[in-house]
Amino acid sequence: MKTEELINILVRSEPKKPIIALGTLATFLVALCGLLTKFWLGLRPELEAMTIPMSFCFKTVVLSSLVVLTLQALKSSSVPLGRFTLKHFAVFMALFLSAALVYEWVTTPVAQIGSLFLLPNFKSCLVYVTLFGSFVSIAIFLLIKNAAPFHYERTAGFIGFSSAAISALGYSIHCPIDSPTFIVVAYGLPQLILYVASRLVFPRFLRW
Amino acid sequence: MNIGTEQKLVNLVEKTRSGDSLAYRQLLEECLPMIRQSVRFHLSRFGQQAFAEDLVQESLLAIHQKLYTYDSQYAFLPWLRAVTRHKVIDFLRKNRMKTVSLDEENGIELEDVSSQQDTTAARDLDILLKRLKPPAGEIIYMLKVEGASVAELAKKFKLRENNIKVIVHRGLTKLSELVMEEGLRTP
Repeated sequence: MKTEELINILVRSEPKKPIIALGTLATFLVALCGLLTKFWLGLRPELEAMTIPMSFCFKTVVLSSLVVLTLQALKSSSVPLGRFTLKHFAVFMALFLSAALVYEWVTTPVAQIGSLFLLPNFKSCLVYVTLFGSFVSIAIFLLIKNAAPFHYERTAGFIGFSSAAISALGYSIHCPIDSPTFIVVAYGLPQLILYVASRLVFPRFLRW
Repeated sequence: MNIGTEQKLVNLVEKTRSGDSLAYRQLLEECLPMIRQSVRFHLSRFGQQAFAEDLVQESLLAIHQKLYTYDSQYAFLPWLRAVTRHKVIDFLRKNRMKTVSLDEENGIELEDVSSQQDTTAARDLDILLKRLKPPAGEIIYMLKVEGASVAELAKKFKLRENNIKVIVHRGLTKLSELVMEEGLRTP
């Protein structure tokens, strides 16, 4: 086929558009994970009693920021010449979380922090955040498959990160522990697991 | 490329996004010579100019499918160059995997042939590789055709890297002999 004929064919239809924006999909997925958590696992006691503790606000701020940052990283990685525009915010959140960790380690006995990891909540966090995250990652992958990533492995890794962040935010309404150390470990490990799994599975399907 | 052209292309992208098919045609026609030039330049460095027009068409298709990933806050031409370059790299990567190269170690040279002859050569190679003592044929195929590294092969076949190199060397020598025999038999 001649190139000019191809142009004639292409102009007959409009250029492809995404079915849904990444931000919209992420909002829908956070809501879905939240609903699933509420009806399957139940809300944490304070939320059942319609009160919102400050520590829960802290956790929500950290996890929401993580969702925003990972989605921005994914978005910039999935298009040609994409730019990550939230560098300052990422640094600010890293400092904010570090300060919270230092404050906790200074004011709370180590044994008390360590005992949190012996509670069944720790295993639940790992299992449910990873489980929800794996389904979320499939939905995000299907959207990103139509994008134009240059670095397949990096993009696949960001799919894993953002999926885990979304599922962690949805699941956080069930988990009653708001310790910064617990947040970093219990929500960080599923991030790592999904990051590695996504990097192994998705790159070959992202080619365009 | 001057600022006027850049601005013109960005305007055309905007109009295309609002459903103007004439603007879309103009956009593709404006991009065509730039894509052609870019593809020819990249391919000429690898002696693959014969595939230039195929890649130009691939790039046009990529623009059609991925235009929504262009952010109109930024310049369009770097985006266009990046997409074209990506298609060229992708093509070269695929092409490297299909190229059969036995010339380095035993002085066998496969001529640059047409696609039909390539298919025949690939089939002949397959037959010749099967005549080698296993797993030499498989190792040579993976190393020379699929582009696997010696370390990867050593891990896969649970052998030392040196053993892999010896197997490849002996296999290629044997292949060379087989090719010579076949050549003598062929009228």
